[in-house]
Amino acid sequence: MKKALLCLLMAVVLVLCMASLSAYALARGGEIDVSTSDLLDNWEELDGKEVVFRGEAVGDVMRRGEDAWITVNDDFYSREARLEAGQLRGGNSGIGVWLPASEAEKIEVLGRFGTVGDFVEVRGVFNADCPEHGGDFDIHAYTLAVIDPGRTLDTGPDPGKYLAAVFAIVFMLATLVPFLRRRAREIRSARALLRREEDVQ
Amino acid sequence: MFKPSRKDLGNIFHYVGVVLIALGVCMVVPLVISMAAGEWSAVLDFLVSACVSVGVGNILYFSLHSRGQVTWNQGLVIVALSWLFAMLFAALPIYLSGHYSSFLDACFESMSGLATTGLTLVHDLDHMTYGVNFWRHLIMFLGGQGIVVLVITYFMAGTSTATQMYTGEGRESIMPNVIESSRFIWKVSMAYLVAGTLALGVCLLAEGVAPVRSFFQSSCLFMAGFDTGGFTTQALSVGYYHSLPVELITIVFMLLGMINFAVQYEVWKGRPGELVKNMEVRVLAVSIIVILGLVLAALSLAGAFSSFGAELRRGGYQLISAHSGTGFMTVYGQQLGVRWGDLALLGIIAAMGIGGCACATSGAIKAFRVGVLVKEIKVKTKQALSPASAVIVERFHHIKELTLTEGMARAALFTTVLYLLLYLLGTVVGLLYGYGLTASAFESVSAAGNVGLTTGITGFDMPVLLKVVYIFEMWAGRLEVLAVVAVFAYFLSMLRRGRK
Repeated sequence: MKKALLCLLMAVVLVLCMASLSAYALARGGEIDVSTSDLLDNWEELDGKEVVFRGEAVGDVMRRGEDAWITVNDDFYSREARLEAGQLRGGNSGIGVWLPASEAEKIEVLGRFGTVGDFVEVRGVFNADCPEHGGDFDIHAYTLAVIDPGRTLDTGPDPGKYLAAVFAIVFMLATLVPFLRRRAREIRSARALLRREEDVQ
Repeated sequence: MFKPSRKDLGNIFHYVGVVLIALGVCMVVPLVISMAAGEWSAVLDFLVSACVSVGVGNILYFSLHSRGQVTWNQGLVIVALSWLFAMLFAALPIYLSGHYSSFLDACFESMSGLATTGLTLVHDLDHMTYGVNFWRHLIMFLGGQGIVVLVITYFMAGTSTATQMYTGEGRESIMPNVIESSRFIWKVSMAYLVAGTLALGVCLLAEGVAPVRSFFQSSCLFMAGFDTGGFTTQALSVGYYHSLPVELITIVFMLLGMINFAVQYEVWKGRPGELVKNMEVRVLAVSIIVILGLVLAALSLAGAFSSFGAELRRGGYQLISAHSGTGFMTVYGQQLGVRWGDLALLGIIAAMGIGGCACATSGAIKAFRVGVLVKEIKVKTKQALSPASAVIVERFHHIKELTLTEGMARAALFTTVLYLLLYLLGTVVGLLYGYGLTASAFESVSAAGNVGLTTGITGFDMPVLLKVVYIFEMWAGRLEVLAVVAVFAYFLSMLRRGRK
């Protein structure tokens, strides 16, 4: 009897596990992987849908009560920093994400000059015309995961820039020489005039 | 016809040199900011740029001596060339930052900043140094007040030369003396800068931005808003903040920037009634209300937003941004081009085309000229309906009671036609490159009206010729076209003289 009960209990646990796994898989299947251009191009179809958005957290975490706004960029620079790649690939593209402040706190490094922000994955609902935020184009996320932690970049100047700065300073000072010489000449002649006047007196 | 000589050229470039020296000195501000932020690469960029700018300015200033008073046409040429040279030298630190594909793109950015347009070809703005980002906004502040006004205020003693240059920059004198007018403009602007930075800084702080960043961003947003420029520190423009209070405060900045400084001077003197009586302000108010109605109706028809509140917030903000010539955005450029529909875009184009008040930081045709033309139409209609002997007199209030004259109407029509031709130029070039009519007209009016809104045409990958045309439109539009026409006429007459 005990054995039968144990088997039954194990079967129930197994079924529950299977059910929750299926539900999770179904839920995942319902989420659509999107980029900013997907959202801009297909806003009508994607409005109100659950989406997965990945990119670099940049700028600021703007906490508003229990929630926060972050900006997630999914442009070229979110995958390869401009300073490291040495390539220019256009402007930034990204979207504002509204999420619980507790989720936003997972972000440790924000993308700014000299840093590559945390590469994050947010899951939530896309709004092409957010009713809560006055027609905003945003994602209301319920989870955030840091896929790749951010880092600090080497932003030291190129040695050639020191040389250029020295040349530029010398150039600027050289352009002042004629003025300084003229001023010196004027002062000398004024002094000479003064001396002559004193001699006459 | 006037025949300029080499001596005249010396006179002109002597003053261009003063402008370059002033520009180089101004680069010290972002240099210090970069130093404080530990951005040593940018510090060196600013050091090189400042030295080169001051050095070239010194050469022009010391080697070419001013001979006699500056004439009216020389004043126009000085102003136009000063802006062109300022563009080249202000572009130096921008180009050295490594965020621009070419020096032409950096020049586009600096002209866009100086002319308070706000169109940008920047790559990866969100990772830009504080110093270069501040410089982009500072040149808007310098350009908005008028770089020549800056020089007049702090570097010139004689009023005669100053008057030629002051009016050449598209300004009307607020006080009897232009130097006093310039100083008033700078005093007011500095007072607004402090108050605006503090107000928006506190707001950003409350909205969750970190303390240092909030005041840095607020100072930049003030300079871009009050000077109706439109650059922002983040790629998502004002939409980055998702904040109604930020939008409302920046609307106040834009309104302050678009209202005639002479009217603001009257208000400062304790005569707030001028705001209600002034013809130009009335025209502006009517225009905003009418076009807002049109935009809201168009957004409703296009189904761009699901609620009236969203239509009012998004439509109203973009309209004030367009009418003031600022270019701040709370929607994506692609949304404007696709979701808003042609009718709403036409409304925005009309707002950009009219612009703000004369003697303000706005560009475009300006409400004063629109008002004068409407009154002239009224006079002509009345004349047509009255006996031949009837004398129709039309009066209006602009600081004082004025009577509409033929000369006034002719001048307004002349400048309006020049602006329309400028708008047409960019539209035609856009069409030649295969862009749609509405998008081409939108972008062209945005550039020539010094607005900065975009439907997506403006970008680092747009054709080189289009970049050059937009640079020309921004330059000519900021100087109300006439000064730029004067430069071409001046050098043409020099060539003719050479041939003879």
